[in-house]
Amino acid sequence: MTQKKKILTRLLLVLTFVIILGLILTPVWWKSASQSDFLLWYPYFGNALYLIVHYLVYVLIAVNILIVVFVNFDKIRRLDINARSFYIFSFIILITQFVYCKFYPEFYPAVMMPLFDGGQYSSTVKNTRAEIIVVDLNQKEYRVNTKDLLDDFVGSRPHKDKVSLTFLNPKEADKSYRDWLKLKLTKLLNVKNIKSIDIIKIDQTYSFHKKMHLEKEVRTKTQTILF
Amino acid sequence: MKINAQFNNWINRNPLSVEHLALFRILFATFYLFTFGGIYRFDWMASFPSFFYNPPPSFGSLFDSFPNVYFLHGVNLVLPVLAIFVLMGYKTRYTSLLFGLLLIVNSSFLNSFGKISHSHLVPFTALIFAFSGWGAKFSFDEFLNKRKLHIKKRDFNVVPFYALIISFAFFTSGFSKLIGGWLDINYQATRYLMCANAEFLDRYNLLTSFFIEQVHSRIIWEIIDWTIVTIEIAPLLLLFYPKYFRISMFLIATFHVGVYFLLNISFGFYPLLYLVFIIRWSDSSTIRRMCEIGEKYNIANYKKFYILLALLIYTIYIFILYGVDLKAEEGQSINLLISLFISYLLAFYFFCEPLFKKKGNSDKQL
Repeated sequence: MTQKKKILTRLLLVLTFVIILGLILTPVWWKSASQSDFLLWYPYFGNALYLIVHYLVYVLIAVNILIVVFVNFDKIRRLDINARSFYIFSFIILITQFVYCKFYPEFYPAVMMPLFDGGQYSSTVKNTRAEIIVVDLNQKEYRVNTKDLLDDFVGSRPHKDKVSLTFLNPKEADKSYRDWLKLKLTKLLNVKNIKSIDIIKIDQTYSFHKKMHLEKEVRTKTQTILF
Repeated sequence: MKINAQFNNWINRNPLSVEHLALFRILFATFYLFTFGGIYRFDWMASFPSFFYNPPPSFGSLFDSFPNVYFLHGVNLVLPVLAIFVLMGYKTRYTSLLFGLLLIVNSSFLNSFGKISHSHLVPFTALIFAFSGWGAKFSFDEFLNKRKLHIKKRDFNVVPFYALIISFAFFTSGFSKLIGGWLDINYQATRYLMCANAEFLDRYNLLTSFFIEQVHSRIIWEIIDWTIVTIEIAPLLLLFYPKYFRISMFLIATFHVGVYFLLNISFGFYPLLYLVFIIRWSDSSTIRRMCEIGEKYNIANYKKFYILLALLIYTIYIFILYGVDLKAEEGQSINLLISLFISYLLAFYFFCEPLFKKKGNSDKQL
């Protein structure tokens, strides 16, 4: 390898390291902010900053690595390693999965650990809950936490909580779902003449200072099912 | 040492002999059978309407609703049979592959409620080690081979690949934290996650309340944050250095115990899977003794007795599966604790074993 190639490789590796260090030190509120937040804080260069923090740094890392591979391609090609292609192929697959996960955090390939909310941590905590309001023929109201309908679900409490948000799914209620709901609610509330069900989405915002403090709660009706 | 040579060393290094692989197979199948992964029923899924069916891109996304209850009963009955075949080493390559695939199919349906389990590495262990020849010793396959009833398959050194998969899995978790703000010194991410989990998800365990209420030092929380990221990223960086990789795997096993007691997230018997790297297979006197016992009671020499044993295990298994209600959260919690605790104890023992070895002994063996 020529001296120039060596220097370029080292420079690029140092640059990559510096970019990753920069990413580590970027404040949390920048990482979790939306484009409009950036524009609000920095009217002149908000857009540019948003693009840098959310896209350009990743592109730069990828470009750096590609250049390093390109510059050193002869050396890599000459490597005399058993099963080399198998391992390079496996590694590429794993990296592809990882990148895919960054954009679609609900997808967890079997060898991946979960990516917590796409790896972003905000300084305020947003929590969503679901509630059902049941009205019977005598106009009597009952409030049910959706989690209480999942007694058949086998899993830990946190998982039940997660599944309880499925009720907020905008899918149209088909017959099997309506029958299931009616059966579960009748059993739970001991009410036979259910007239309607409202599904309520509760959005909560908490601030965190040693403990969680509820700051805001918004209730929205997402669906009404009539029987 | 040049990176090229280091890489070659890593790829060609296989610390496990056929006897060691067989021991790992027996441990793996036994733990699967008698812990969380093995004794839970899946037929409950069929009682949910298709409204809840929302699978991620996976095998499950080929279907519109949860599978038929008879299929799930079938899974309940077939999975233990396959696990017992793996345990006894009967047509091990095929049964391990089938076992792994069926677990993945089942996970696809289970995770169509959203991600609800942390058992990803279990099916992959079976799939990867199916090609390692872990059924060549202490097995029916050995008996069949002796009598030339079995065509010998080519075995591969799967240890480097297994190391790559595990270390990359942890790297993804660590790297997301690294670039996601976990290390921001103005913000204690572990504490935040713990408080959010306790507040919203009721995730409490032995140490949760103590840490939330009593530990207020920012320095301690920052140390925890940085330690977590270091532990998760280290295995991939140390992949080519077996001595240090072994330590990093033990730290990951310890990390699982910490996560369980602080965040109540259990990874079941994962520490057992890291034994592949934690045990010093060729030096361990315990492993040598276990191999001697394995040879003495070799399944290949007691064919009828072991068939009866397999039947007995299966009967007990089905009795537990359909006779004992393991739906209760307390039951699950105890089961998870036991599997994590025993597997960690094994990891701890084998990690510390070389430290207590007498110098004279090791010289004699060399």
